[in-house]
Amino acid sequence: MKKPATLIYGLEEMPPPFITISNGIQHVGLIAINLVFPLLVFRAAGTPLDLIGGLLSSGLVVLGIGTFLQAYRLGPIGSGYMCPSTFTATYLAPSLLAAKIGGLPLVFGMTLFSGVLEAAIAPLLNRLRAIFPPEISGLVILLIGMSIGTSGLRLVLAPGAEPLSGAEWLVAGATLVTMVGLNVWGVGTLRMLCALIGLVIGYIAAGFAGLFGTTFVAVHDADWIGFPIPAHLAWAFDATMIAPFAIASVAAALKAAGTIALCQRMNDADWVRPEMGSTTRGVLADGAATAVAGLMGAVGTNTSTPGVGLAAAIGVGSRPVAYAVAVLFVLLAFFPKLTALLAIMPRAVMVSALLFTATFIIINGIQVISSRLLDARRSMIIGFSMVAGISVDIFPSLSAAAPKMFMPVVGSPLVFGTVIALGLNLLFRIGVRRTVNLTLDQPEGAHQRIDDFFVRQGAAWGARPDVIKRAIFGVTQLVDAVDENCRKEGPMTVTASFDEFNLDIRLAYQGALLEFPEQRPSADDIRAGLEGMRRLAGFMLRRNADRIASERAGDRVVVHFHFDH
Amino acid sequence: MARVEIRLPNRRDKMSEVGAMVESFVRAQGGSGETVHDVGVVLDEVLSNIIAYGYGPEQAGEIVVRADIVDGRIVVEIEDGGQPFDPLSLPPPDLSAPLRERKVGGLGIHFVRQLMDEVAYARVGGTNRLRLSKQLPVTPTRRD
Amino acid sequence: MELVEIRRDPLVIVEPRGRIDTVAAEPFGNRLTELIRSGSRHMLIDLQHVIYISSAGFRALLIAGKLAEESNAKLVLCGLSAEIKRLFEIGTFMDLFTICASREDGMVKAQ
Repeated sequence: MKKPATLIYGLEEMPPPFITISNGIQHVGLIAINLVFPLLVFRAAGTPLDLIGGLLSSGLVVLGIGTFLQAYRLGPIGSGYMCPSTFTATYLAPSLLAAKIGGLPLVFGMTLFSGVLEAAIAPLLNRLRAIFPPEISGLVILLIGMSIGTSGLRLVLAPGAEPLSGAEWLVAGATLVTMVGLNVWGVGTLRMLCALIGLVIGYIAAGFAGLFGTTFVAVHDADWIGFPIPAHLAWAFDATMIAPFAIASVAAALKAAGTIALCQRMNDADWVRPEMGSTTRGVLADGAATAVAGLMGAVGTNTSTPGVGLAAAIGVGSRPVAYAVAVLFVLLAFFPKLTALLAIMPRAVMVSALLFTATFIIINGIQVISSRLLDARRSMIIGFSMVAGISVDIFPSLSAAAPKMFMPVVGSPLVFGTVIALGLNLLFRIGVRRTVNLTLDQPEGAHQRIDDFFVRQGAAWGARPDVIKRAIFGVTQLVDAVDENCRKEGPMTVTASFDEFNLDIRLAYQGALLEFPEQRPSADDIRAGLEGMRRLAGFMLRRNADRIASERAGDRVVVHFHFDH
Repeated sequence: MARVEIRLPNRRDKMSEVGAMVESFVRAQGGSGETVHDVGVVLDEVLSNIIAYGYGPEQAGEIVVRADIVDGRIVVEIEDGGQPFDPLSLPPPDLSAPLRERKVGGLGIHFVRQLMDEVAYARVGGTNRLRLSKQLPVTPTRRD
Repeated sequence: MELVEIRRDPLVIVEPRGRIDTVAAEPFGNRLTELIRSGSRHMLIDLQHVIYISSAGFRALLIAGKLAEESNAKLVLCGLSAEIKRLFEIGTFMDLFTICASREDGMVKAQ
């Protein structure tokens, strides 16, 4: 592992105490806004105000434990990276559903189930990519983002909700404008903490507008200092809730794996591809944290991607910072007045916070979807399941008319959209040849044919564009070099074989063997003539592929390229 | 019935000849351009393996290649008297291996598995026997 | 490959488009050599429309670079797409050329 130049304090380094603590505070500030997720769920379950404060305190302790588990390598658990825990939108929709059906006991029980499930799938994660390709995880993220936005608006616009008063509109506006304004035009810390600052402004505005009403009594009555003990904990399980929570578990596992990969890349200048060891350990820790959340009366947690983004932006990725974050979370839990203040968050402030967080999740989903080459099959998978997901919300009568046993699937946009996507993905595999051939018999137009062949196949396979580009370069450069230096006669045949983890290409031609040297010929050798140029081609081809091999049989040469996918 | 048998010495320079003969057999039996190509690739890989791993540097031996059509499937059998060697036992390509040149075997066997429906190895007496089969297209196109 | 030349005295901006493959490398290299020989001392090669460079293309660039050095001329590259930049990296050529991120920077550097 080589520390990149952009990192001031690497993973194993100990920054000065002031930097460690102020960084820790920044991380806590960044994550604070996600406390709206448990808050929303507790309210949906009709939890009395005085209990919510205690539950939020307990939730803060959970975040501390999660952050610690992730950084400290305890047995097989924990990636060892500075990667803070946060409450996640991923579990919001299923948790709201559980709150409605079975109250808090069902939320906690199912959260525990989700955590155990996430930990269980951690070792299988790499294999899961084939069934759950990136365009589908992207779709899941997109649907999650939209469900956050709509669950925010539902607080104020749903048929049964009390319409927003003029004062509430103003408070909601002030909150949103602060968050958006600081995020778009702010710089440095102001920008990083835009959500937290927006919350503070929202609270102040709500205070002036008198929106707290009698609820402020809860803050007044709360102690300054007290133990974070959640009251009346109970757990319940409901089989119909398995589907929504299981999908959320898979989504959380994939997101955690992505965040850990981000940590790996941030801490290693030589990073090429995710290292599965620490990824598995990280997902295991993430699942464990969610299980702890279920036990301690909170909603599901996940690794904080913005947290890692913040660490990268300021160049501090040290493990001691993670410990500082963990300690700060636990410390905050000892101030009941603070959690009571959070518990009385006016809905006007909440709506803005939810809308604001939704935007980034939606864009993230779109980015993940478009990280793959999309052909007709994939476009239809995304399009159909997107419409299917949205229509659950638009036409509630459709799911209401469905048999009760299908409710867990058709009752939730997230679950219905995902199930449609997974089904179409399996269906559309029919007729996709995993191994394909191309014969290049004449030099004219060969480059265009190589391009077309790989772009078309790459899209049919759903291969990553960067890998396909490397394949195109490899084949084109080999054809060029062989044509110029080694070809005797006859066509060159290209055979490409793909599965989710490998792209193998075999090229056969009649002629001389091309050398793949480990050292680049010197600039003078390259300038001198054909020999240097040929060795340069071989050198670049070696570096372009993850593995290369060649062999000669008589005057027939076979070259293999292997690309990890 | 349609059947072809070729005997060749364990020499690389004889390989392309055998490949061409088997390919023309498959084509004559109504194999599509894809199938012909696939069988050619597989034969190339398997024979390369046997010649590279099966015999000592100076050891001369004989390899027998048989191609047959059974129930609409092309079946290719390859026999050699070299050291016991199961190409299917070759480790799959090692993803963590650094960039370096390797024997073709590890990567090549990947294509053999991908391109054929069935691949089976048996050690019979002093002989390695590799049996490969692949379904021909249901409506064979005569010559492509 | 097409070759576009823009003259902003004393600067010459050369803009190859398409693939600099084995066939295209020859006219491309010849033109660069010709320009330097005929007295151009400030050259910017904008690669933004290039989608592929073969070893022959790199050879042409190396020859032009050497000639520029000997003739006391400036030769600057700009507009490398992610893929073209990757090719410079796998060829370990990043340190052998003056490479600018944008055309504007390149124009300043080549002056």
